[in-house]
Amino acid sequence: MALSSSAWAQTAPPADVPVKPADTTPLVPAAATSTTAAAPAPVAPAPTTAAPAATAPSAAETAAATAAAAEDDSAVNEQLVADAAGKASGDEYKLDIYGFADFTYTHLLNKFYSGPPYNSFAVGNLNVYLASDLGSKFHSLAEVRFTYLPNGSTAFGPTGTTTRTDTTVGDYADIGRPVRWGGIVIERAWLEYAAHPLLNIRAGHWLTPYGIWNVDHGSPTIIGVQRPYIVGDQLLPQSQTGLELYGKHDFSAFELGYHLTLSNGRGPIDTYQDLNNNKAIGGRLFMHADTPAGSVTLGGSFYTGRYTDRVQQLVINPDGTGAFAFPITQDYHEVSYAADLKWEYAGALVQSEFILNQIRYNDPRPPLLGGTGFVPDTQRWGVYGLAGYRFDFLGTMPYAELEYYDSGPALLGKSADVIGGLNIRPTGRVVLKAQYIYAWFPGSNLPPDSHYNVLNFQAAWSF
Amino acid sequence: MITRRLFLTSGAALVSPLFIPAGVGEAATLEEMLAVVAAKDGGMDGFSLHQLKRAYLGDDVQGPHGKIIPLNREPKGPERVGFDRSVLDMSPDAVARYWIDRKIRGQSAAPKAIEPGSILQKVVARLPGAIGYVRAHEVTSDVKVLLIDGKKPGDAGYPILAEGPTRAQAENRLMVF
Repeated sequence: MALSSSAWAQTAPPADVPVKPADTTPLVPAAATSTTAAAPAPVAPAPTTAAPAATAPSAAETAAATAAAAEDDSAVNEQLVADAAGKASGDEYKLDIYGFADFTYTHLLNKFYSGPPYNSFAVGNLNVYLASDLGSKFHSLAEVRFTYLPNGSTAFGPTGTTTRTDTTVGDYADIGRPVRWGGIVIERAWLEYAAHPLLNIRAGHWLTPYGIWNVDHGSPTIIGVQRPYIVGDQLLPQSQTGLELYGKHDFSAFELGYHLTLSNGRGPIDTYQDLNNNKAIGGRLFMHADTPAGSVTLGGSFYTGRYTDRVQQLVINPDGTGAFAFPITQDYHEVSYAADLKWEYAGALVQSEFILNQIRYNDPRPPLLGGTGFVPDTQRWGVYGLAGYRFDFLGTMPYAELEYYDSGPALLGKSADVIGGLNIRPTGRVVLKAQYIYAWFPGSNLPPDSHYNVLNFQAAWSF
Repeated sequence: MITRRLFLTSGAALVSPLFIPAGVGEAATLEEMLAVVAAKDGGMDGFSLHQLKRAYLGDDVQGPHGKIIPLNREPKGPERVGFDRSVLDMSPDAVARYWIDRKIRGQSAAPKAIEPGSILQKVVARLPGAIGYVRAHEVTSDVKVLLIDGKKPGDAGYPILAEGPTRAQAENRLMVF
């Protein structure tokens, strides 16, 4: 939005604001101008004015000092101004490296039907960001999660027993002693061009712009220990690979913004290969207003796409030549809708999201797990609401959350949970969380009276 | 820095800083006021407080030279604390949380911080599109002062104060109690 011209245009400071003559202090960059930290970094005080000399310098000394100062001024000025503009001098651009991690202790208060009934410590996320302003309105961001997986991940076999992945190998750097290797997850990697506040173009792998917590994404920014179940269940895909356009306009009284997406959609290898020619589209419209009654954000999102899985087969033609065919093994069309509301006033926060996903299968339908017949068309939907209040004391926020989820004909069926917890932020970079979850499953296919009763404690930090 | 006692015009000032617009109900001096400055030839004349807030919260606010480049002062310094309270309505801790959360979301980073005000003004003077803030009595001839909601430092109701209402309120409390 361009600044409006005004009737009170001025070319000099207002008459009754006294003006000092320009300071001749040589420019010295403050430490913060070159920081790469996430938060406003502390600044090393730069000299304000030269200390008064004990004796008056001679004219020659003054001239020499002035010349030297001017030279310093010129040399440092470029760097300081470039720093302030957000880029290094010359053709070099800064790479900003930062990230977050979390450590969680889970204490089960009852034995749930799935999962080992043991209490555990775990480092869940270790995510590193690489960000850079590339100049000329280009910006880049990559986020990589380091994980202990796939070691220890399990899969059900046809007999109902699980097989655990073991990544233990001999370490050639340690006379072959066993070491368990982990993996990486590319959470996002994109290039963005900021053409105009109304049009930013993002290309690559990005988080789907819907709701509140899919974009908040990182454990230090999430209030609870985990995201709501319906967000984690990806009724809309968590991330997509393709193009995203977004922008917003400030109408003074409120802000109106949009996102439009075009991507491979969901698929078994959607991050680099679409197995159909039907690109997924999605979008989000949101409105934000700062009112005397607080800050309000209201949004609505949609997504539609087609999931296709195929196998590659070598086919021998009647004439003896060979060719590859790509028969479909699973294919469905899906539509998702989401709505979100966030209200903040002083330390108070209320937020809610509603998400719905509908799946219509095409032939061949996948068989039902453990039963006869085929998977029917599915509708899943869920809603959660969270309320909290952050006090100044240690940045403490008690919060409560209610959630309901209808997962359709899946094993879980209908479920609900209630969560109460504390989110303590003694510094901006460190978040300590403690929460209690009680979940129950009305109308599910689980054993009667199944419930999930657990305490979680988490430390999340950004670096 | 406060050169004379402030006076109350409303009992509400004792209740909550949230409801005290800076500059209302108090007679601040130029030393207490923060002037928003830009390059003389930058083509900018003024902002609304809303635009200023958006620029300092990382939004894309356009000026004659493209995106406005906001420059900050050192965290927890009296100018920064007052500016954040007056313009952003945020405490230092809330501001720290805000920028950390933004970066984790993959959004833009916090404005660069430059100290002292004299150096900040030199940078602003040489960087088209840059804006910064200094105490009004420290404004040099390098820069020009921008009007905020049509007001300049010294005008009644000028909204941006160093250390803002918090210090004023503390002094008021001392006087009253």
